[in-house]
Amino acid sequence: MSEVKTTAASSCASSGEFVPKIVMFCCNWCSYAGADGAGVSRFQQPSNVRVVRVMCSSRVDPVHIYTAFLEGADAVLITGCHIGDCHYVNGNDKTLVKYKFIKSMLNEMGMEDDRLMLRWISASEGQQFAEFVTEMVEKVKALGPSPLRKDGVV
Amino acid sequence: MSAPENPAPAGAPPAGKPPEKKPPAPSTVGDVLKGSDIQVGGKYIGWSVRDEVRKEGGSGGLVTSILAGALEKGLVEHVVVLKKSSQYEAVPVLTSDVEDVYASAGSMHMLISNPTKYLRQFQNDATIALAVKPCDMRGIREQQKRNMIDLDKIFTIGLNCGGTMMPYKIRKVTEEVYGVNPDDVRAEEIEKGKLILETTDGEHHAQSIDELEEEDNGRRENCRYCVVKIATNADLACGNWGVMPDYAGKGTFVEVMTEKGAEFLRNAIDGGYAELKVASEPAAEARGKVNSIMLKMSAKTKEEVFVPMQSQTMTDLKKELENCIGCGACRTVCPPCACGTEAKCTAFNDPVDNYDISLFHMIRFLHLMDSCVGCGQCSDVCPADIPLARLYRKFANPMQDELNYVTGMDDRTPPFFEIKLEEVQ
Amino acid sequence: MANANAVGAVAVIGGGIAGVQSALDLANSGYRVYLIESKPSIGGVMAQLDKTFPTLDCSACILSPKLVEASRHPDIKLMTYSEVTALSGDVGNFTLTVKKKTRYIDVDNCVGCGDCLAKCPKKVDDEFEEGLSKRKAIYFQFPQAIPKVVTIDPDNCLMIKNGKCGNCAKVCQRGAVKYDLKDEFEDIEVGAVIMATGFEAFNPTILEAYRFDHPDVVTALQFERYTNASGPFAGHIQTSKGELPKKIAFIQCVGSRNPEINRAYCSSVCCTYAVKQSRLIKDHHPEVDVAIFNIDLRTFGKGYEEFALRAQSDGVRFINSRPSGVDVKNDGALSLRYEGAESEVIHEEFDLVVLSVGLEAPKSSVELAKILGIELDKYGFVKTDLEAPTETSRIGIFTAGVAQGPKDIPESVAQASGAASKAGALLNEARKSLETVVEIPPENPIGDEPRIGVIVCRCGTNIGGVVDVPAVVEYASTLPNVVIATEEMYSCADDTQSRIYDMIQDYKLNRFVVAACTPRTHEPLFQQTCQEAGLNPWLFEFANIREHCSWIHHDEPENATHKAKDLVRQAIGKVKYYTPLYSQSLPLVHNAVVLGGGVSGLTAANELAENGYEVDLIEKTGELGGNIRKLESYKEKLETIIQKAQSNDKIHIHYNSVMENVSGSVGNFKGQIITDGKEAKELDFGIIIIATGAHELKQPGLFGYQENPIVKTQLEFKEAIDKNESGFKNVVFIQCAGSRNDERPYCSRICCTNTVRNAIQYKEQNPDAEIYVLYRDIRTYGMYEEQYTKARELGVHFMMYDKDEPPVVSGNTVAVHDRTINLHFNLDADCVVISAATVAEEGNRDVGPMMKVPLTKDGFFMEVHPKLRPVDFGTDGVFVCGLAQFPKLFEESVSQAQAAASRACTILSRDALLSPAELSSVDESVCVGCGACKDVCPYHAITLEEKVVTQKGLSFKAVRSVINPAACKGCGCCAMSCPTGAIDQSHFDNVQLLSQVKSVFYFEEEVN
Repeated sequence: MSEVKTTAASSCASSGEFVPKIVMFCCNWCSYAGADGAGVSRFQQPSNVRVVRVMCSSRVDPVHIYTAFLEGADAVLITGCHIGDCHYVNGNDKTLVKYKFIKSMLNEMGMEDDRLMLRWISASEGQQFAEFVTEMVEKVKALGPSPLRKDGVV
Repeated sequence: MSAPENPAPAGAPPAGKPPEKKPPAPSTVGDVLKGSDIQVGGKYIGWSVRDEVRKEGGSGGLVTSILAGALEKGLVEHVVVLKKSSQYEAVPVLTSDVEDVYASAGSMHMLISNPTKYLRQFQNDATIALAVKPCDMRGIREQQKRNMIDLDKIFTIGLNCGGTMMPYKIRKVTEEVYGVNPDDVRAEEIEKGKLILETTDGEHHAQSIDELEEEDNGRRENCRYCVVKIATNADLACGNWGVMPDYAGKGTFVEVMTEKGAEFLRNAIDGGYAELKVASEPAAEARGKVNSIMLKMSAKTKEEVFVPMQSQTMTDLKKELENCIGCGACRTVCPPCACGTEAKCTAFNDPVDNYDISLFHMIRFLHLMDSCVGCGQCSDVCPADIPLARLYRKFANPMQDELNYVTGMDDRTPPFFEIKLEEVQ
Repeated sequence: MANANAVGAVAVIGGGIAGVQSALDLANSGYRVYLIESKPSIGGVMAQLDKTFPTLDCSACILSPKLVEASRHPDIKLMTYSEVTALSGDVGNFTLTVKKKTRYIDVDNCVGCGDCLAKCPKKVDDEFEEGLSKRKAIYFQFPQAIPKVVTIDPDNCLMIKNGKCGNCAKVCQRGAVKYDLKDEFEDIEVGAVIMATGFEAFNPTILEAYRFDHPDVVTALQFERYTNASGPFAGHIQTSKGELPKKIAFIQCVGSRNPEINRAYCSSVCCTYAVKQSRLIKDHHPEVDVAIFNIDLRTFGKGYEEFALRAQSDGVRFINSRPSGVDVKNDGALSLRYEGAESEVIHEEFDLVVLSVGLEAPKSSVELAKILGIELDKYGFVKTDLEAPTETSRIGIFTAGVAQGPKDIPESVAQASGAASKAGALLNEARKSLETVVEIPPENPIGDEPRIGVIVCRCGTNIGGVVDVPAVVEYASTLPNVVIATEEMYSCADDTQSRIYDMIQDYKLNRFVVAACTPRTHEPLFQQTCQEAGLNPWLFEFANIREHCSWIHHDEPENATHKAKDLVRQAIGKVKYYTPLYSQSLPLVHNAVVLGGGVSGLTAANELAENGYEVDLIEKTGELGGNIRKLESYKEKLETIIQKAQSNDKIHIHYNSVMENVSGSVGNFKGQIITDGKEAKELDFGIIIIATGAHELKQPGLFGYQENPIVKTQLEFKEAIDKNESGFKNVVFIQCAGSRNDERPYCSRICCTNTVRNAIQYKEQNPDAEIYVLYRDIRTYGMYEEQYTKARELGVHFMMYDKDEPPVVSGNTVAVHDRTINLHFNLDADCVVISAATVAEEGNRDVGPMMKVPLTKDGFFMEVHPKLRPVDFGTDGVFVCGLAQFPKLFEESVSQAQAAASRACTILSRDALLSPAELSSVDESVCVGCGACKDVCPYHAITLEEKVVTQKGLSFKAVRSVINPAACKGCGCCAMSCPTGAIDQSHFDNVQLLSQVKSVFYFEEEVN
């Protein structure tokens, strides 16, 4: 499943300053709505996050997370409905199970703790969403590029 | 070649300890048992009624007699036996001929013969009995949890295991450390922390296991930190630990773990294949003591191996994996791996991606956190000599420890199949 | 009954949760619905709430999908900002005149961009925020308002009032603002009407003692906005000085249980919402002292008692006292006056006082009732009968929700479904006569190579004011497979849809990407446009460059543009792997099974039969009627219900029978009816309603029960007094016998009401008898409070005992410690009536697993969502009602049984079941049958089956995972759990998601 890399016409990262790239998986029902809510309420946040929408956080496969890291993500964030609020009964419980394992594994690999985070964000928590993004971008900036990052990723 | 059943392996009380004052307690109590006396949870000492089996078989030939009885009385259709090709090597053979079973008496325990994977091929068509090491059984149970093996169709006799050695290595050690021609070795024995080789001329040659292992000339690394020494996950857990001197070499200690185990044992008694007596309290205690000494040693080794690994960086990990040629042998041989030829670890692993650590390894590390049984076969087969077992355990240990989950020991649901991990806060 | 020419449409008045539920149920069972809401947006009070009890679910999260569904439903016509002004005609053929108040906005042209809001100079109190913050004179009712069009508030608009300003019209690029628009009137033809007008919160101004004029005395509804993360304080609880309050008091029954102000009823929800709010405070600030001042704590719903216990263990103080007033000290501090345990007056200071205001009928109800010609009760709630809780005094006009009386959300939702069922049954002949039939044009061939069209939306200045849209368009057009990229001012506008249509045709596009706002609201619109243009709707992808980009990176336009490009690239990365998807049409059997022949089961069966479906009613005993069968006072009501069931030839009653060996799933269940333990009848059925009831606890030794001859249970006593048995001089009722204890922490809900009813009945029969009720909290919720008042007026004595010091029955004496006056009494008794707990049937433990539905730890059935889906399960096609779900009163059981029937009708009325398109599916050649997927599926959609598999030319039998498309809901957790990758979820498959992830990144060397 190889991809021909597309090129960007312009880049604002030309200053040489480290610009983290963060991939965030959002479930359709709560956290994506929370991200929308942040927009509706204009909660300003750094522009480093790229959201991938899934129907339920339990859809997020370790393969997706690893691919994001191996491709060059400096952090991967998973967000879902609060425990008990899952649109699919208990998807987020299952997300939590896998997350615990993946987190432990990345730690064992020597990956810094903050590079993979799971956070429950409800549809009304636009501010929490923005705060989470801000906080993570700050943390990742302090950490520097991910040790799994491919060379040359912008 | 294997060295299971070593009652006092490396680290055991050093020679020169003052002799015990009291005579050792007897291994058994009471009369020879009837089949109906056998109960789940019971601990017994038994032996074959056949002289030749007692003579050829290790420790009284109980295991051979149970297998032979099961086959002849139709409890199973096949038995897996080991056919020796030399003192150091053997191949597993599926047989319905009881003579093959008797001929295998005294065979080595299956060394890295991976019963899990070939059972998966045959078990749906037939009932099979076999003897297994604890890790073999752990693999079988992990496959069972993934619907690949039907435990109802197999009968397992677990054998105590203190660790195994690679055939090529023991040949090399025999030649280089012992100064003995490997082909002259007739038997091996572990006693008081020493590995003793008996040559055809009747001579005994001894070396300290501790010293051997210091030079990596001893047991395979994963065996040294293995946490299961008695195969309580099988139908019967057999071995010579706890067999006191009065029965040494003549009897096998057996603990009945399941109703099926009891049934097979009753069959062996009632069919006139074996005799059993109740194991005495001191005998059971002695067995437990050996086990706990072994486990302590394992815990120590585990610390020695894995604590330094905690400070490893991703660069170190990349270095460990850099020679991987992507042959996939580690996966093919892996006992708990239930996937077929296609799996996420291979399907999404495209060499063109040229990642520093391949998706194959990333996914395998994760999957084995849930299922690694610590058998070490991945390391054995790796053509690039990557210490895979150590790596898989490095990843598996923290979560398995946190969840108090020992793979392949019981029917507990694999963590990945759980909706919610109650233990995880 | 409606005439044969009835109109297959229903008007639902009120767009709160009850109205929305009625509308959805009706629209989903073949009727056209007009949903009429007087406010600019649907959603009602629930949209204002923060969290909901007892699950602390985010209110917005669970409500908005329902609102969106209602707004998109082809058979629901939203009439917001509208009021009913006249009604004529009769049942089956009503004509409603609806006044569509002008918003001064051309709603067809307003795209909801909100550019006008920024330019409006006039700030007014925001009603949605309960006056805690300001909105503009041109406004959205709330940010997620549906429909998303602005409204001008003419009382505050400077242009309308003074003719000066006009900013909004100037800034609106769509020309949608029109100050000269007038109200319009529209007549609609409907067969039935449902009045679900909800409530207004009590305005505490008239209770001067509570000092609502003080800025730190707030209503509970205001407090909802305090805790809400999107509220005026972003969820930070604060006093008027902006500090975190150290002490917060809740005063209960403000505007409830107060006959002096004509609010004698209990509002039912305040105790639990106060508990909820107290827990939310404690969750964030455990150090804050929270006290709830109450007369009785009424947490009587399912899980509510446990919820309150949790608050207690969090340290919330529950004080059994109604404060006489709030004093404002010289320094402005607040002090509460209340009576302490020793009858002394206590003054305690608090930093914030929350008034738990009651629910009351909207003032407009009186006028509306007049228009509709229906009766109201003395409080303004819609009058109904006990056995017909959804029927008003006029045939063809139904009611649901708080309009009928105070109740919480699950009951409102259940009643709303019940009303839908009644309306549906009434108009059964006309079902589907007005249903919208969507015609789908044939699809264009899509070919092999992706040909992608891209539209980048400016959304007025919303996107275009921050993101360099032309640069994004230019960039998009350089990406592989992109055939055409253009920009639009408003991509959601009608004219743009026709341009998209043309683009698809002209450029032979087989994929389409719109970079605009959020797919959560706008994806269906573009999918529909694609479909009209012959493109499968699943070949469309959205890039959210507004909510996720321009709006949140306002100050860094360069980065926002950069990100917008990335987002477009991501969307293209995903869309090129899209494949056309189709819903599968699955066969469906159009009949039902009802388990249980009590009031609930019978009602459900009757409803289903009246809606036109065959029903097999399975009763385990030889008689119908359940718990109340022996009660004389219910005889007539019960006989009517039984008669109805027995005489309806669509209902097949199986006595002494049980259902066993159920397999299959919604639409296609199979099971066996076992009669008399032997005879088995195979039955295919489409849905099943579980109404297996519950029973009164009969525990020997409980307060002397079955040991002391004077001790009876409530039902036994009721049976006796119904037969006019008398002769008891001293009757002592003991409440909470076996409930609210360690073994059964739940409140059995119905005992207090039954006790006061029985006490009244006996007192009226025997005025000389002395009656004592020993209770912990009297929980006569809603209108039953009047009964409590009446009982006291009749001279029934009430004594409150403590959980840890229960009454002791010995011989003819009951010893009790009255905790309110701190005195011990030895009461003479010749009859002791214990309000024994209502306990779940043991048989539930068999039915649950058989139907793949869960139970609570107390053994009652656990509905899928306690708030908004009170009779549904996660397993489709299985419903629950009555005591099987939780203890409830006769009328509540009736209403819930109707609800279950209504939910069932939404399935049975379809010609075929349609699976969702985004299903998971199994690749049999890769699956190894390991079962990792099976248990993680919350819908039990996955089974392991032996199949003949052909691989590499060989055929063999093997176990494989099989997904039932009728049960799969498309969450995709099975795809994640599958180790082989055999399971994948369409539209979110691994290849698509990985491509999207990989498209996030690009490489420096490739830039040049």
